Amino acid sequence: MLGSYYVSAIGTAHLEHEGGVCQDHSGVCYLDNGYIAAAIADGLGSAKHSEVGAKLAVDTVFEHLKNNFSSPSSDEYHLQALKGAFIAAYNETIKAADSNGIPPTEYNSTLTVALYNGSDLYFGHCGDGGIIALTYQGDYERITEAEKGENFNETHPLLNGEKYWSFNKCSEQVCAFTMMTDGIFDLVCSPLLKNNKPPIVIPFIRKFMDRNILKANNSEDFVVLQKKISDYISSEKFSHDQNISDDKTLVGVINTEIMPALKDKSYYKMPDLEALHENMLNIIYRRTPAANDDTDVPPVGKNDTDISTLQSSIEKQNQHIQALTRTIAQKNRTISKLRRNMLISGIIMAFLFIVTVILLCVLILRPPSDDNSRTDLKTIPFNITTKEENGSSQKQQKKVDGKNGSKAEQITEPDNNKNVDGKNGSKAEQITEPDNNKKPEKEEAGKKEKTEQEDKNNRDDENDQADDQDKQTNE
Amino acid sequence: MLQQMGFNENQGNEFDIPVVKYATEKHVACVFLLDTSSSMEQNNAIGQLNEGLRVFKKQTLASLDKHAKACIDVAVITFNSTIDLVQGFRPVEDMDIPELKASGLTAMGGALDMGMDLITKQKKLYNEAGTPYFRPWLFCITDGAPNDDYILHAKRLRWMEDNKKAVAYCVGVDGFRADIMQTIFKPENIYGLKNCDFTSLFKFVSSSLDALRNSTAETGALNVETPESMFRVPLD
Repeated sequence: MLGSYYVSAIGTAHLEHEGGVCQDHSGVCYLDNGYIAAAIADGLGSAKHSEVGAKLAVDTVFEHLKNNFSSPSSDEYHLQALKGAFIAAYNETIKAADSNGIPPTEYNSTLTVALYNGSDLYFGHCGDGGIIALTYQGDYERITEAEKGENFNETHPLLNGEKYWSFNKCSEQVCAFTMMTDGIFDLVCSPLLKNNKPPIVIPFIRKFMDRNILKANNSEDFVVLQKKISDYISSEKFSHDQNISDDKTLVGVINTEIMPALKDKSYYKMPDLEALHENMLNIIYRRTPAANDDTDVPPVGKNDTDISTLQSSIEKQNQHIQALTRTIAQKNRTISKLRRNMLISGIIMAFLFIVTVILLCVLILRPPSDDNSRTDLKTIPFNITTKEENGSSQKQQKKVDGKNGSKAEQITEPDNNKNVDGKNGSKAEQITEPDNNKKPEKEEAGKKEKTEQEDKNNRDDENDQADDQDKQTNE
Repeated sequence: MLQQMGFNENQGNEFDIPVVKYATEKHVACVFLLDTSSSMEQNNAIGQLNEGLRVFKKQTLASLDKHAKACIDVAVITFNSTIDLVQGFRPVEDMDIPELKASGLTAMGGALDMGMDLITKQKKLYNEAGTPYFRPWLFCITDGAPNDDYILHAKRLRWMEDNKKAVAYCVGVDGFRADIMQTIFKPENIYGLKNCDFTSLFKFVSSSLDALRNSTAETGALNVETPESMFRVPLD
């Protein structure tokens, strides 16, 4: 069997106003040929008597299908029947407005109609409501697109004419479907899911149409469902929880003979709405739109100045400045650290300097014990310097050859007077002169004395040896 | 196979009807075009304009719940001899209140063009993100008339209004040229303001934006009672 339920309930926005009414209307109609027709209409907020127009449109559609959809055959026949129903609703609205002496737009409403036989789903649609179908394979599909203007609260209702009506057939076999006006449809097809596949909050809508989890097997079950769903959708709690202020309409039709296939658990998982919302805010506040959008520019007369490019450039400059500011702050921190370290080093060096000065003063001012010791102190630095210079020069000497080698030779001169032959050797000579000038004299004097003594000794030895030989010869 | 259950019978378990957050969030973009020419020094109009902006933010934040604060997006453009984008579109809670100073001439034409560019770009972002939005507002406050080349920009504004791309309002304080303003703005959207009462004006704008945000009406007209200091300008 084809079971069904339908509910249209007033929204909080209309409840707040005195005399506020529900401008939605909905219903289902079982046709003699085994089909079920379902229809929803949402009276426009700007139309004074739109609740009348919405009811008139739904009633007219059912009446037309009862009389003009007796022996369904081809797809085209179904679609023509639906189109005929829309034309009938359009004409009846105009006629009723004329007879009541009011503008037809005061009756204006959206209109969505479905024709279903337990497998094939045909539909006609205008406005911002919609249909969700559940296929035999267990897929949820949004089969209508919102017929609306650029701005949220602008839609294309029935009286906008044939140009804004669409008629089609769902491409898959359908075991259940739901129809909703924008109050609930915007919830089920949240704008945040624009890029999701499917763009449907499945864990929400499946509670109303999936026999895998919903007890909907016979007419008794549908009596219970009609009451429970009607109570729930009409409740203020539903409006409050879901943050809906608009009127609410929901129609469900379920084929009780088909159990839809079950999908993977993840298919029924609630989308991460927090993350999707954050992503949406990132786009509308932080990202630069794509270029060349002239949607809001008249065909002629647009000033060529591209302000957005300038803005983008300024934003980039600002980011660059911020980055530079951060770098400067880091540098400043480093500099202050260095200053601190330098201060500490300075203090240590000053301390060492003072200590050195004091030590020198003590050594200099100390009363001399004897002349030799003072002489030794003065000569120490020279000796040290000479040794260091000799060491380094010897190392260099290994690497250098040819003419340049003279430098090393010159530096080592103080110890090797024999090697001196260049002019550049004068410095080393000058430095080492004070020592070397004195020592050779003493040494030479000593050597002379030594040599004379040795000569003497030698001569004495020779004399002794000669005496011995003489003695031996004589013996 | 899962076990069937009656509708909404299992309160407290995974089969309860989930809440769909943010699904009904709709944005409204509002650009303030503020005249900061030297004549705004008279009667301390510039000081009162600064105070009016502060009141606008305060009242809007006080009257909206946390969710709604992110739905009113405000941009601020000032114009004197130059045109400055003081602030691109931001949620009203992130709005920086500038300390405006008066000097120079009245380059209103260029400011209108910048405002329309901003609105066009912002709508593109809304579309990219899939965010539903109301018709954006362009709100101009002046004490004079444009002395730059404004004719082309005025034509563009009229085209945008006729094609429901934006709705523009003009509020003039003492000395503003209503005769020229009606060549730029729709006459029914031009208001005068007595005694530079910007505080009342911005309270009114805040209330109107809030009312618009909660409406499903197609019109973008101001539908909140106007303050006493605001009046319709008698036009030719």
